[in-house]
Amino acid sequence: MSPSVPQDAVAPSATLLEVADLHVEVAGKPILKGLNLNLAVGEVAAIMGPNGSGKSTLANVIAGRPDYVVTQGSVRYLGTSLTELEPEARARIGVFLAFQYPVEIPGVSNMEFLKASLDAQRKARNEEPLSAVEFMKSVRSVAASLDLNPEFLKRGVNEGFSGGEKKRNEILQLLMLQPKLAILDETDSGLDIDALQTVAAGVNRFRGAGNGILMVTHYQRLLDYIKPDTVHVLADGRIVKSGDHSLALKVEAQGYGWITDAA
Amino acid sequence: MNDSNSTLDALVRRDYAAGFVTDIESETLPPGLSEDVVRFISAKKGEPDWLLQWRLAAYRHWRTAPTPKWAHLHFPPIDFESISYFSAPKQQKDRPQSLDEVDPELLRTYEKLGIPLHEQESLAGVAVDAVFDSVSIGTTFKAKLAEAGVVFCSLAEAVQERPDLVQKYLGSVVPVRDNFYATLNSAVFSDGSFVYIPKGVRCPMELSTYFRINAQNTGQFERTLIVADAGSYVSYLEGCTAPQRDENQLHAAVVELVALDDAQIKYSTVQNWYPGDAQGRGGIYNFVTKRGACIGKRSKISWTQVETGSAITWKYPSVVLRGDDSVGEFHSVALTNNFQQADTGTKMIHLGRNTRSTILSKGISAGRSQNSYRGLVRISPTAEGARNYTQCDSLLIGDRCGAHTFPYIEASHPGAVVEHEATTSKVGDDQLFLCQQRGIDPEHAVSMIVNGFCKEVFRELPMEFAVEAGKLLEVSLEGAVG
Amino acid sequence: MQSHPFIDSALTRSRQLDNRLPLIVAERRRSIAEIAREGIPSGKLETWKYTPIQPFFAAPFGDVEPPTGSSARTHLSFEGAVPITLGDKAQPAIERAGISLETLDSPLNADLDLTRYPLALLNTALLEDGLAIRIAPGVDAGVLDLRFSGGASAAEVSRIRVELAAGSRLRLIEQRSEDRPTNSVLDIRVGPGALLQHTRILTPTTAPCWYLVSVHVGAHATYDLTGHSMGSTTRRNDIHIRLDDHHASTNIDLACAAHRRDRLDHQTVIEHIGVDTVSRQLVHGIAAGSSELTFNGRIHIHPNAQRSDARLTNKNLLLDKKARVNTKPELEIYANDVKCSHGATVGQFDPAQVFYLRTRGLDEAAARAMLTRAFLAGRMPPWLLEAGVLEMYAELFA
Repeated sequence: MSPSVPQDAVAPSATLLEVADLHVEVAGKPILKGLNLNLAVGEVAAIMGPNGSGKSTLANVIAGRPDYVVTQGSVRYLGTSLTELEPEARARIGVFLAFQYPVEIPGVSNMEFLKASLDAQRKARNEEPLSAVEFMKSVRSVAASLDLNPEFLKRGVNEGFSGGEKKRNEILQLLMLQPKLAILDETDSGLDIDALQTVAAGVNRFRGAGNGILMVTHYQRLLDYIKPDTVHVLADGRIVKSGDHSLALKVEAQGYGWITDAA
Repeated sequence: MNDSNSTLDALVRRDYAAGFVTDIESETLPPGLSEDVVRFISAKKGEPDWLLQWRLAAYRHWRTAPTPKWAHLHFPPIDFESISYFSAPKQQKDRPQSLDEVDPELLRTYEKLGIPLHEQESLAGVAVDAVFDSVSIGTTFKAKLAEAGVVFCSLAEAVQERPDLVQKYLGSVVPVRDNFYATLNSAVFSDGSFVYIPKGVRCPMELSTYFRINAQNTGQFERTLIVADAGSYVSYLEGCTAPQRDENQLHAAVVELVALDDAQIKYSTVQNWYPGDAQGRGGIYNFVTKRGACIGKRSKISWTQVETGSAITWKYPSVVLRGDDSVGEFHSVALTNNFQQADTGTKMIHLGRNTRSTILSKGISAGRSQNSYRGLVRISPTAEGARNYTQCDSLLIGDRCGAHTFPYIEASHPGAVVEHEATTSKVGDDQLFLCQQRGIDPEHAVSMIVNGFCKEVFRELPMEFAVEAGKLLEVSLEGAVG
Repeated sequence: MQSHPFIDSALTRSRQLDNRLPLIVAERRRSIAEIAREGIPSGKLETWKYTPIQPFFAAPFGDVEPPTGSSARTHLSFEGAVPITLGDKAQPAIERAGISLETLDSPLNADLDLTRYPLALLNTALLEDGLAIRIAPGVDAGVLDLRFSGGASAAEVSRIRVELAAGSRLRLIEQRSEDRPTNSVLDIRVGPGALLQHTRILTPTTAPCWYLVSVHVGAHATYDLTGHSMGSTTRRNDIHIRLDDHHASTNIDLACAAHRRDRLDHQTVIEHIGVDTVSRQLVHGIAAGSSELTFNGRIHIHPNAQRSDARLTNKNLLLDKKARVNTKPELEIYANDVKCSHGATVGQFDPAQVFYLRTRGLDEAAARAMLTRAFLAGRMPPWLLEAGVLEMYAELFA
C-alpha cells in the first residue's frame, strides 16, 4: 500500500546504489576495507557474512551515522554522492534504514514521530503535508496490515516495545515513508516465525520495480520469505563472493569458511 | 525484629585483635600546642628553615580557622590542648641506621600485627615503611628499590636527602590552608612516607606504610607524599592500627599524590584504627585529607579504601583531574558498627578535557552506627568530554543504624556526562533463613552476603590486602547479625 | 535584637497589614520578633548553597509603601475547573457542597519546619493575602483552578491552606503567571484516605520568587504533584512532603527549564514517617543559555518507617557552554527494611535518538526540538497538553 506518495519515475535497471572502494573507520578502527557493491533499481540484494565482517557498518554508513568515518572511496545514490550529505538529507531523497536496534524515544508518540518524518520528507519534495485525516487513515491501515494494534501508535517511539514490535514498527515506517532505497539491517533478528512472516509480507508489499532493497542478514531464513535477486557475502570489510539465492543456501549448509578461506 | 537480631548482634561484637599496648620507653611532649611545640618538632628533625617557616605559617592560620561542622557526625569538641603532638620511642642513637638496630620490642609489635619487618620474612614483593607514633622506625627493601631509582623513605629523611622534590611538591596538592585538619597537620606533622618513582619506572614491588599509634593521649599527624614521574607506575598500600584505650585519640593525616604525564598511582588503604568499644567508649578520631593531582596528560590515580576502624571517620580521598585524558577512581568499602560514625566519600574535580572518573562506594551499617557517603563531582567549564559514573550502595544490618548519601554534582560543560546511582538494601531475614536452612550458620551467612556486596571493591585491592580486608570485615561484623 | 533597615521597614509594614488578616495579628508579631532575633541570614546556608537567600530579605518585600503591582498575564483555562482568584474580593460562590473558602486564622505555622524555611516566618509577618480551602469528609470536590493575580503591591506575599478531610478528593490547579517578587506558602493536609492531585504551572518571571509547598499526608492518602516551572531570574521552589501515617504515598513529577541568565532551584524533602509509605519522584531539568539549574532531592526515612519504598530519578540536559547544573539527590535512612534508590544524570541529547530522527528526515534542530518537548512534557496528561502548557515552553526556547 502506498500513502499516495508519488514516486519519481526511475528507469528500471538503472543503478540505484553504487559503492566503490569504500573504506570506513569506526573509533579509529578500520571496518570496511575497499568494499564494492552495485544495486540496480528494482533489485533486492542480500548482504550476508560472519559476525564482525562489517555488514551493519555498511548499512549505517549509507544512512550517514555520525562517527562512521569514510576514509576512502565513494557511495553514490542515483548518481549523487551521499557521503557529504547529512542523514536527514539522505532520508529526504529516499534512503531509508531499518535499524537493527530501533532506538527508544520516550515521550515522543509513535504517531507524532511518523507525522513529523513524513511532513519533513514531503516538504523537501515541495509537497503539502498530509491532512490529519488522510494521515490517520493511511497509518491505521498500514498498522493493521502489520498486526499492530492502533493503541501502539500512541505509545512512545519503541518505548517498552517487544523486539518483534520494534521490528514491525520499522517496517511500518518503511511503508509510510516509501523510500527508493531500503536498507534492512538484521530486520529478521529476534523475530519468531509468525512475526518474521508478517515483516516479510510488509517488505514484499513495498518491493517494486521503482525501488531497491539491501537486506543485511545473518541467516538464510529471511531469504525464504523475501527472495533476493542477488546475494553478496561480506568478509573482513569486503564483498568476497556474489551469486544468486543458491549462494545463501550453500552458506547455510556449509558456513562461511569455504569462502573466507579462499578469499 | 526477630531473634535473628540477637544472632546478628553476637556476630558484630568481637574483640579488636590489634588492641594491645607496646611497653616501650618513649619520649613524649607534654600536651598542648604552641609555636614552641612546632619549633621543637622541626628542630627534632633538623629541618631547614623554609620548612619551619612553612609549619609556623600553618600554625598561625590554624589558630584562626574554624572547625568544619558540615559532616553528618556528632562528637564533643576536641580539646586540642590536651593532646601531645610528639611521641617517639627512645633510641640509643638519633636514628637507627638499619632495621637490625631497631628496638626488638618494636619489631615484635609489628610481627604481632602480622607485618614482619625482617626482609627475609617479609611478604615477597612488598616493601614496608613502619611508622610508630610520630616517627618512622624503618623501611625495608630500600637497597633493592634504590637499584630501580625508586626513593622510598620516611618524609623526615626525604627532607634531608631530596629537599628539591619535597619543597616542590609538599603542599602542592593539599595547600596549607585547605581545611582545619590539614592545616593542623601542616603545622605539626611528625613523619610519614615519601615515594618518588623516576620517569618510565614501574616500581618493582608494592610499597607499604604501616601506621601504629601506641602512646596515650597522643595525636598522630603523619604526612605522605608520593610523586610518580612521567610514565611511571606505583602501587602503594597503607595499614593502620592502634591500641584499645578508653579515651579518643586524634589522627589527622595528609596524603598527597602527584601523577605526571602517563603516570599511574594506585593507593590502597585498609584502615583498622581502634573503633571504640560496644558502648561507644574510646576509639580513634580519624580526620584525614587525602588528595591526588593528575597533573599530567593521561595520568591515573586510583584510591581503594576499606574502612572498618575509627570511632569517627572524616575522609574524602579525592582526585584533581587537571591533565587531559586523565583518570580518577575511588573504590570504597566503609563498614560501621556499634557507635561508629563514618562520613566518607570522594571529590572528583574535572578540569582537563576528556577526563574520566569512576566512584564505587559500598557502605555497611550495623549496630547503632551512622554511615554517610559524601561526594562531589565537579565538571568545570574547561572539562570538555568529561565523564563520571558513580554508584553508591548501602547495606543495613539491624534497625538501629543509619545509612546516608550526600552526592553533590556540579556540571558546567555541555559536553560532559555524569551519572549517579544509589541503592539501599538490607541483609534480609529470608536470605539468612535460606542460608540457615541449607546448613550455613548465620555468622558465615552474613559475612558471605557482605563479602558479595563488597566484591567489586575487593577486586581492586592487591591480593594480600584483599584477603586481609575480607577477614577484617568478618571480624568487624561480629555480633551484627539481626 | 539586630537593627537592620529591612527588618525595621518589615516591622512597620507588618503593622500596616494587621487589618488585612485580623485573626493572625499575634502570630505576625511573634514572627517578626523571631526574624529580628535571628537576623538576616548572612553567610552561605547549606540549603541555599547555589541560590542566594538575601534577595528575599530585601525590597520590595516589606516596603512600607509598596509600589503598585504589575498587570497579570493570561491564565490557561481548564475545562470544568472552578477558578478561584486570590486577591479578588468577589469570590464566586462555590456551588458544590462540602467545599468551603475561609479567611486564614491562627495558628499558621504549626505544620511548617521553620528552621529549614526561615522565609515562612517572613511570609507570616508580611502576609497580604490568604485563604483556607477545606473539603468535607468524603466529598469529591472536582477541579479548583487557583489563580494568583490582582495584588495591590509590587510583591506578592500569600498563603493558602488546603485541608482535605478523610476520604475526600480534589484536583487543584495552581497557576502563577505574574511577574512579581513572590513569597508564597501552600500549607496542605491530606486526611486519611483522601486524594489530592496538584498541578502547578509557574511561568517565567524576572523577580525573585520563593514558593513553599508543605504537605502532610495521612494513612492511605495520596498527594500527587505535577509541576511545570519555567525559568526565572531567581526562582526557588521548596517542596516538603511528610508521609505521616501508614500507606501514605506521593508521586512528584516535575519539569523545569531554565535559559538566559535564569536561576531555577528546586528542593524536595520527602519524609517517610509511617510504615509502608511510598514515594516516587521524577524530575526533568533543562539548562540552556547562561542559566543555573539546581535540584536537591532528599529522601528521609525515619526510624521505624519500615517497608518504606522511595525512588527518585533526576535527569538533566545541559545544553549550552555557559549553563550549569547542580544536583544533589540525598538519602538519609534510619530504618533497615526499606527500598530506596535514587539516580541523577547530567548529559546531552542521546546521539542515537538524534540520528534515528534524522534518518527519518528531520533536521537536527527539529530533532532536538522534538526531544526537548518529549523530555519536558512526555508524561503530561492530555488535558494539560490541551490547555497549552507546551506553548508556554515554546516561548521560553524561542
